[in-house]
Amino acid sequence: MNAFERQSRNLGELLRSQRRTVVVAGWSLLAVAVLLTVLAITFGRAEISVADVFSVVSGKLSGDSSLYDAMNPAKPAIIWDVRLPRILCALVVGGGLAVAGVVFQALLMNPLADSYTMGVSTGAAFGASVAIYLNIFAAGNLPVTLFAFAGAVLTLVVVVAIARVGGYVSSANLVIAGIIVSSILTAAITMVKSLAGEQVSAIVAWLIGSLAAKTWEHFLYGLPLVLVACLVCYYYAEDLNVLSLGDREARHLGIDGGRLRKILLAAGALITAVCVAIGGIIGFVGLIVPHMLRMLVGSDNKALIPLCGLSGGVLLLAADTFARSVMNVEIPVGVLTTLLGGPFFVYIFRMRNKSLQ
Amino acid sequence: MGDGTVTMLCVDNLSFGYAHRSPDRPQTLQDVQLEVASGGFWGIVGPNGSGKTTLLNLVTGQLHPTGGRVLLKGRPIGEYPLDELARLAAVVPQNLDIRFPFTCLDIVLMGRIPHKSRLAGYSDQDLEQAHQAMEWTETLNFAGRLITELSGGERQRVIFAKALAQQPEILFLDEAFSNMDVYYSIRCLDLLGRLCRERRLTVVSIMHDLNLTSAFCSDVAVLQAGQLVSAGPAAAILTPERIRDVFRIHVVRAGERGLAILPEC
Repeated sequence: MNAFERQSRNLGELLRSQRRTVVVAGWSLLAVAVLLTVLAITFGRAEISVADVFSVVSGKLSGDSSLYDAMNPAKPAIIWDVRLPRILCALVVGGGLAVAGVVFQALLMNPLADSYTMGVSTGAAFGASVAIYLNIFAAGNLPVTLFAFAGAVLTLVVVVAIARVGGYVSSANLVIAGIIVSSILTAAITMVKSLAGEQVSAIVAWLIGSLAAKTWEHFLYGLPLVLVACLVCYYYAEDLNVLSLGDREARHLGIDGGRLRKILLAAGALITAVCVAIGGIIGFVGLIVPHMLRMLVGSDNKALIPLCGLSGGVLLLAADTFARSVMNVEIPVGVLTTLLGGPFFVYIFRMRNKSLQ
Repeated sequence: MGDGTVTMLCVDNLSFGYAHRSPDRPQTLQDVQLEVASGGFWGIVGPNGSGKTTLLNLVTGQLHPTGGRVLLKGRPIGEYPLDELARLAAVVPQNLDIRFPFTCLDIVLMGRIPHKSRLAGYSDQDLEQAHQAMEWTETLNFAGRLITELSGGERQRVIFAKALAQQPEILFLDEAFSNMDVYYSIRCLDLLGRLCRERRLTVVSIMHDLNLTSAFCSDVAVLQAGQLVSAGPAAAILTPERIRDVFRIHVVRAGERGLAILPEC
């Protein structure tokens, strides 16, 4: 073997070892997710064992009710109708927020961006607040989810329109436009809240970010939407790598940055809207998860997108389980993620700056 | 041309001006006419603000001219689909701000994206090209390191390797060696010269150092205030007289192809 072959083999070996880390991380996370799901069902005020979980889940899935007929009838209801949908929603929302985070970061060429930077989350929250307000005062029965989605998409359209200069949307402009629109919408949400007067608690409770009382319905409409949008992001992952070096680099490598950015912004907005519609405002998941994973496996979005989906789900599920079972009063999970995630992010940020010096 | 060389790049009467033009902000580029034969190693020189980068942005299709046209292998550059253009031409920018911790191998392999289909893995050939490019630029040692941890000059060599891995027929460089030390600048220029002679690569590079330009480039185009002052074989163009006129400095010939800059203006 000559030197050339040896070195060439080394590059292949390096590439394979990078892949191996990703595959190992992926399978480990998947195992953790399954394990945590089972454990999370047993956590809570009602005493439920792992064996109960298995008999109810297998009984429900196979349609064989004899597997759990002998139990106290409250148990299957708690497992199947209360805890499982909530847990699955946590996995979808956490995973979705993390994937949206990693995509927005690469698109905006900014490792500190997420769907909040773009104003998309705030837009979804505004749409939901308006729906809740109208439901209270016009005695309507408007779908909050649809309004959240409309708010997210409209905000995205407005932000992109503001950022567009001469038919071209740059990442710096997107961040600035996102911040402007976001502050206007925050004020608008406050106005809706003050208009609601004594009924404000309904809006606050929704905005605060909680996975309590989530049903199969939430999971069953959330999962396909989030999954399809994540697959779109995964399909364009390599192009996204190049785009994260800038539009110019992308162009020189044969990629139409403008078109790709539109597709991925739409996918990111859809994920965000669904997540906000299901869980309200849950901060920092989209910021911290991609950050930690980049330290572990590098910046290749082809690896980051699936891993973010898994670890975001695991993280939010862990936080939600902690929030609902540790104290007598349930802590809203959005508050918990921000209370813990904020300082942790400061820590990461400081470490990173130190290592740069 | 009858002697076997083909025209790789033809800049035909090219003009460019920004939309808000005023008497004190004239057109940035005026009626530039240039023909680059394949295998040529062209240096573009000129004082600050003479339009070098604008010219490069126009010939790479980054900007659209307000007059004239750019032909790449006889075909207007705007008519190429982006992916086909990426297999034909590579560009090394002056500064590439990479904010995400990619490994250097990740970065160099990005140069293979125009040659592979989406979702397909990297083939042995892709790895071979990446290896070749990294060996040429002496960056194999960095392959597993993060690009964000490298120094400016090392990073430029990795970006340069990415462009070489792209296997272009024509390579555009915008002062791509600005952060490298003299040793690596010379190594890279020497490499480019060899690729031009042995593999018929065409190179068009914006150059700052007149001495290196004179030593390594086969041809030189001199820009001044948006106009092409002169273009042709390096030895004939970079004379002490013309350099004094354009750059307002004094130089003398040193050795066969070198120039020495004198301290007085």
